[in-house]
Amino acid sequence: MNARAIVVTSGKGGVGKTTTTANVGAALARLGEKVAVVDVDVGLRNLDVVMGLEGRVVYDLIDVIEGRCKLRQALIRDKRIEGLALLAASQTKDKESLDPEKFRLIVRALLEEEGFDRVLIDSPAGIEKGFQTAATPAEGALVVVNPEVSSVRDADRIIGMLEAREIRENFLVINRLRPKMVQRGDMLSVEDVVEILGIKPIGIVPEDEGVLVSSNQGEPLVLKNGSGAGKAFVEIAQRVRGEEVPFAPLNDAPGFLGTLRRLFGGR
Amino acid sequence: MMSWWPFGAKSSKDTLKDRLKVVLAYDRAHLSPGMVEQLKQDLLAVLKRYFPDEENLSIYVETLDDKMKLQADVPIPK
Repeated sequence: MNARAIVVTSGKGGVGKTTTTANVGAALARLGEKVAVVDVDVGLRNLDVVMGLEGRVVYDLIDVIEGRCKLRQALIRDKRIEGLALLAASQTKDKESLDPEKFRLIVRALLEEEGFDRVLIDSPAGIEKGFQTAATPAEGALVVVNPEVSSVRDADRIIGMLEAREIRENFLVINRLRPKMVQRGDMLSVEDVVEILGIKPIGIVPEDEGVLVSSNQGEPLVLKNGSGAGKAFVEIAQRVRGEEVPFAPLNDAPGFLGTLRRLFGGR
Repeated sequence: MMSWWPFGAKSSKDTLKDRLKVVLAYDRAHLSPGMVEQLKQDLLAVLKRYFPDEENLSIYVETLDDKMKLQADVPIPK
């Protein structure tokens, strides 16, 4: 992606925006980029706890905007991952205290003055002011979607709003896919979601218990080996950087029954 | 429902896909499905006034990609 300021968004809540921001951010940093992850969910901040950095938050985004500290003072450097920093949202203020144009200046300062290669913006759920503010400085978007009815519908709304803002580099992160359910025709496949929403996927993340475990521990999943979701997030980071990474077939081997089903015209 | 049996009812994801296509077409057109249904009924009532004997009047919504069309099929009696 050419976009250096990327908003991670979804419309619907609980589909994996924060997990995606934390893990793609961590993976990008491990690939050598200098990355700032910014939580814009003012009043309901969570990126700090998912990343395990909650104990180090002193100043937040609103403190920077209202002049109580310098931008650099509010940046929390992740000691486990070189090049990764968090800018936390305020937990006590409300969304009204974040002015979109001031937020745009902060993102610009991160890229131009603080030397970050990439800024990932964790958008709040919804389509109102919080999302609009998060999208204001963005040049591209990762639209996180689960293969289920309300998430797909909300993603469609969000994609329309991104396009209305002339944000063009938009990709789908299809999260919490369950290959077995797809195989038996009880869950939309990647192809279905792409066909319905009309934008390209940049990553397919399987449902993985490891995601919850790693958020329990405050350890980015991408630091652990062997997790299906962790691997998927690393691949997303590679594709964001423009590397050609083929999409591995997610379906467990179809097996005898699966082959039979296909032969007889089932999907 | 699980639907590994290929000859029976369609799979739940195909049902969902059809539903999503319709609902997204309405969403994108900023139309409410109920309003379009009323419009159809009103148009039919008007057409009935002019062609009281015609049985084959039909008005339906067609979706093509992301465009929607309201189509009316009105045979003119000879």
